[in-house]
Amino acid sequence: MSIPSAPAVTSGRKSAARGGRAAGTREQLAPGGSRSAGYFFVALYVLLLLLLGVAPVVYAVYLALSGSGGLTSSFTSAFSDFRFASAFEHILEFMVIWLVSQTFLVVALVLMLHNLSQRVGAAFRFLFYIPGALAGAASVIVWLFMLDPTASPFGFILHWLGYAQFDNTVAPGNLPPIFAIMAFWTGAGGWIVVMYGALNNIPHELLEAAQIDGSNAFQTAMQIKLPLIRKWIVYMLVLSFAGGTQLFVEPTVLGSAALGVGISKYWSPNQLAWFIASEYDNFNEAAALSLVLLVLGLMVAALLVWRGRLFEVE
Amino acid sequence: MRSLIHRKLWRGHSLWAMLTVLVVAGASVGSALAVAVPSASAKAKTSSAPLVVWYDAARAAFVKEYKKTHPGANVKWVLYSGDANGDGTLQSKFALYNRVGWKPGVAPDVVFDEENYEGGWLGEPPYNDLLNLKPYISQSVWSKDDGLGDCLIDGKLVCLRNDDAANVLWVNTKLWSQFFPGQAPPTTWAQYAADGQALIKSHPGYYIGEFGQPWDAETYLWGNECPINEASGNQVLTDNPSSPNCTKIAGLIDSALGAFTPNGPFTTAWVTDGTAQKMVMDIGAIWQGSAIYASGTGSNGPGTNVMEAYPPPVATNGAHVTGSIGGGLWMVTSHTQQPKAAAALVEYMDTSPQIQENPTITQGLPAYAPDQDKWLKSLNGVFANSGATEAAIKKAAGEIWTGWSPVPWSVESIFGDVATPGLIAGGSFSSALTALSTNISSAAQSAGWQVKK
Repeated sequence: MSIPSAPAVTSGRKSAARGGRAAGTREQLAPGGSRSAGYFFVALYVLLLLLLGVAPVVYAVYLALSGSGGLTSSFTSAFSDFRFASAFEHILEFMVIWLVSQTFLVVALVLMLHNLSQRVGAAFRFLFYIPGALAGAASVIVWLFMLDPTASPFGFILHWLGYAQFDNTVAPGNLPPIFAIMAFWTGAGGWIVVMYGALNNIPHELLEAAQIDGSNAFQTAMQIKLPLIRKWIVYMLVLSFAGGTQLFVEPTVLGSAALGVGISKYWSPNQLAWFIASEYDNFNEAAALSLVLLVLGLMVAALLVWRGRLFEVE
Repeated sequence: MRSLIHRKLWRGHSLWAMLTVLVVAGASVGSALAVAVPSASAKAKTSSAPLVVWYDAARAAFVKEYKKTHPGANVKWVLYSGDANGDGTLQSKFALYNRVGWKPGVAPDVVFDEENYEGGWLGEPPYNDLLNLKPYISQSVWSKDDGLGDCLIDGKLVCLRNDDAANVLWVNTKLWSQFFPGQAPPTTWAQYAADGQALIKSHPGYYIGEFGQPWDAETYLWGNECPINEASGNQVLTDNPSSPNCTKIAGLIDSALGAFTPNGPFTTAWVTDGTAQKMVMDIGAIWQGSAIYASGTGSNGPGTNVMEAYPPPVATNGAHVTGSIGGGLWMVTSHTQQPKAAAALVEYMDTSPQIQENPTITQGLPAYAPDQDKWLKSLNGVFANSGATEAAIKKAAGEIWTGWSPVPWSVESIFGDVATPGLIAGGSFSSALTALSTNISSAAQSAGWQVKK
């Protein structure tokens, strides 16, 4: 899978309702008829979730536990695969670079944008959002040209860095930052828009009161705005972590474009699972690997939700 | 209080929700398992089912010719990638058919595969999906195919070899006579390396070969009988990178590394740098001659009547052998309900003079020896000294070393992953040998093979 972009753009008001403060008043807002309409809409989602989310997980559990060598054999062979450690090492490097830079830059950019005038801010928000409008595989194609010193419009920078040809640019050590840059440009814009919506929801009186108390723009950003969008930052981290550990499209497309030089077919754990299933006909081991990713994602999500008090109702 | 009641209610809901999840999921697993078993009715339809043939774009002319000579044949033609560059299409489709069943008329009976090593991948465990063609095709026919080392596995004939992709020494006659006047092109690897060293000193920027591409192992190691990827039967691999056949050739390449271009012939840099015109020599497959050099436009090559094929260098142990890059395979799946018809189609495609002797239909040297002479005549006007070029090609075609085995992993992929990055970063071939061997061994063990050093 490619790195998921941020959720669809929401207005400030709508995002605030989902953000928590208004959630506690759900029962008062949903009497009789509208509540059944709510169940109807949720039912559609639940049905799809069951068919496309839960059922495959149950099937994966069944496959992982039905390996030819016994209940745990698929897990044992997955863990002892000589490609297992390197795939997780790659993804770890990528995640550290990407999550840290994305969190820092998105928050910094959105706080700065929020201080600009409405018109200028809107223009920048649109600008940041454009790269995210490209679907995962399409954006990788654009990056293929960007990274080839003989074809890139920024070839002079690559030459300056000492990269004479595409193979030099995509040297193994460069791959985690390259994928992090790709993921940032496709995902950050959407998150900036979402965060901006969250910032817009902060009551104007609160910001005015801070101003009257002598708070400057920086202090307001750090001490008023930042704590109020904390849950959205946690939300971004949860989704980004789950998406990032499943990195697939970027290394796959880049690998096939590099004609097999330097980027293996099992660079990331998700690719390794696909490789083992589709090129070694071993669906049991692939399912075991997929479950490792699922458990990892759930654990980190649970930790972030718990530590970030994401579902806490005030 | 209200929230407490709400929570209790929600717990009740969540129990139902969980039960529903399990029921739906269980049902979906059940249905998934159900499709894994081919139904009896599917088998009953066998006789009327068409023969399903998967072919690649380059074989479209074969199909056209077949249709002309076999009007009314009940064949369903399916165009696919040909598993080009080992993209894994066949492995993934076969894996899925192994789960859902090989339904006649839907799943392929005959497959053309562009990757020469995949007979070993799909014909051995865990796949075992290829038919042994020996009972269906006469030995007097299949034994005339060159390069059958890729198809004869543990006594089974799992494919026919469509074209012969033996490596020869391609020489740019104009550059050669300019840089090495009065000297004959090299006949040994030692001379080849010495010429490279001379070129580095006298004409830097000109090359004796490409280096850093995934198929280098097939060029230099296969071509020197290096036992780094040698199957010795019953899923046992011999992997001995310290054999002199490996270390000597790696040392010779290292001694002239500056005379090898890192540009691969399918990269943009190859075209923009005009690399094809700076290649004084190149060890490459027969098809590379016309695909890369003869063209004056597509690959920015030197054009026609410039390149000449010479026999590949003799191995450092004195053996007259060569490696092979590519060359397609015709395969029949073991699940076919029409093995005779499928084998007959494969035999026709592989040996028919109408197809294999016609250079407008087949672009590579036919593997089937009786068809080779007429095809070779088509090279007149393409290469310099066409008589000598034809002789060199024909000689090399029969000299492919059979010890480089078709196995269920891609040595090209492994070379590209572990050896090329080091070479690009300025490392040596000798130092890459160990990493290459370690990774080949690991891939073999992971595929359930035993490894002998």
